[in-house]
Amino acid sequence: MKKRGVFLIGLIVISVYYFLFPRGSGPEFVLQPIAVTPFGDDAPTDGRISASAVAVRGGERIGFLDDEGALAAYFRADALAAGDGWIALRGPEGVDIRDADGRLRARLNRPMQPETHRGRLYLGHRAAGRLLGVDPRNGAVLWEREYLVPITVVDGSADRTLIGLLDGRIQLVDDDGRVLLDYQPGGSRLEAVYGGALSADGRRIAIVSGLDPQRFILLEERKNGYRPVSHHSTETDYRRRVAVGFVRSDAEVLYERSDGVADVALESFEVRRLEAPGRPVAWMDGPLDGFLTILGSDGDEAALRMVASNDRMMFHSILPSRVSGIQSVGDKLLIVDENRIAILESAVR
Amino acid sequence: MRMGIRLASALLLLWPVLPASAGLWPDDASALVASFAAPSPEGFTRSLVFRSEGQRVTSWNAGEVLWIERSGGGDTLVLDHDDGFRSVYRGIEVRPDLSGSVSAGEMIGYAAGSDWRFEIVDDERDSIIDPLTLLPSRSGLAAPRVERLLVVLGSDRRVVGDGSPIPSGRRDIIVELSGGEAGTGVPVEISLYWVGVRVGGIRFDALSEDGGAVILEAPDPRRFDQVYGDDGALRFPGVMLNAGRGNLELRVEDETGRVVSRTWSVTVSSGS
Repeated sequence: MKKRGVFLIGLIVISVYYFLFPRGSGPEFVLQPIAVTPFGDDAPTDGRISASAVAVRGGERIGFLDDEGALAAYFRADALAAGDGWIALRGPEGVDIRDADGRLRARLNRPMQPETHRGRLYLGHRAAGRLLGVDPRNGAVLWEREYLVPITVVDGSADRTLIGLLDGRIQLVDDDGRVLLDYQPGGSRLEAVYGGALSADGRRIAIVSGLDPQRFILLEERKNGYRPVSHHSTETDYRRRVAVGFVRSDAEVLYERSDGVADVALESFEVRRLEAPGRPVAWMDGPLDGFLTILGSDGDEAALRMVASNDRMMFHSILPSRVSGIQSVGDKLLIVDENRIAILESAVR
Repeated sequence: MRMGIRLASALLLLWPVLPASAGLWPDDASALVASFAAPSPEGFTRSLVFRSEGQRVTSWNAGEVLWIERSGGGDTLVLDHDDGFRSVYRGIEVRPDLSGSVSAGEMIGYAAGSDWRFEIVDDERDSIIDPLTLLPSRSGLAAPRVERLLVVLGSDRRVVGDGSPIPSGRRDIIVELSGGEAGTGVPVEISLYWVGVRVGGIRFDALSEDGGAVILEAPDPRRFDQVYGDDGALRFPGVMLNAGRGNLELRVEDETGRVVSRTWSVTVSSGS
């Protein structure tokens, strides 16, 4: 009788507590699949591709998605790159630059590898130290550079191109081909640039360079040119390309580390560790404001992880290992592999 | 005891032909299909080019792995060596477990594609050097052969020695010679003499970087189009030929140090 009374009183207290102090569920992050668009075998180009069509890459294929997420055009080549409304494809004789609807804009008689960074087009033979800056509107060669050593890093933004070299130098080249910066950090037993990135405004450069020790170096444009403003040992000894990138509207830099991803805050130069799923394959801001999305792979499987601005993990999912890229278009997240594009809508409700 | 003395004697005898810096051929020398600084669609060939038939590729010297880039079209491997050299192996399939230190002659991968390339970068001199200068000499090679000389006269080319006089002045002279192919010594220096005076010379032993382009040191810096022209033919640009009658001589030194020469009796007439 006494036990039953205690239980009853406890139940009443809990009920009253929950009625008086209801737990706020708060906004909830929702990621909802909308469509899966396969890359077809034939290009469904009908000559009516809107200017807002988005280029999406999956391995050797690039498709242009219309506003409804349907594939408006599709191209396949062993080497290709795309930007807003254009695509560059390598053929046996050289590189063709075409409109998204397939019309030829220009043909460059150079059988080099096209690559794009923030909509800027480059043709390169990195292992042989060659790189061309190309205007994708008309195929004009803006500049051409040839180095004695392999090129390890290419990134572009504003009117500038960052080039990292295996002899430990970085160069910053403007659209007229002028060298704005020729810098060799030193400080390591062996000099080589393993990774690098240029901020969206072109004012900051982040590199991972050298062996024994391997170091992270941040340069910032000041009145008298670019100056190193922060550096530290990464405690890694990669002998291959290392992923480096600016995120969160250039407020942070990420670079690959053996224990995940290092996140360097550019205000304080504080270095935090972000847990990453395997070796990072891609990262990006979005799909929602303040979100950071990282795609990683350990070879057997890929994983997608999203963190909010307060580093709270919002989403984690295991994906098939063939997933090769992610992209955000507005609040939509695109997950791409060789054969299809999955479109997911994200929202906070 | 006698065996030991024999072995020591053999080593002492062999010592002069095994220079410490020579390194080792990374592939069979008979698989060589193109030599350093030869013309290619991309400009100067920076490397020795070997035919690929899936054979083993070995390290030129002891070193440390500096860079591996794996690619479907052939991997790139760069080794750093103690003496300021870096060796580059392009278009091979790098051994999956390769990392850290590598000993001289260690298997580093397999030849991929139709050919693969071997380069040596002199990090201290900031130049790419002809690997043949740092590899054990090849033996039993035929001498390179000078085929003919051509003088560029406007849009025409006249064969030197055909009996016609050459107008005096600065002339581009095109050299046609064989060499560099399998079994023939690779030319390393070509010199042109007019009546005994050296009027042109090119050495093919080092490439360097100049203003965003790779040039032949030669010993004066020369761009690709100043060495090979638009048509890919080897040329001496702007050779000064004063009027007179005499010998035009071409001397070619090959990788073994052997010099071959050919002479033409020529009349250089005054006026154009």
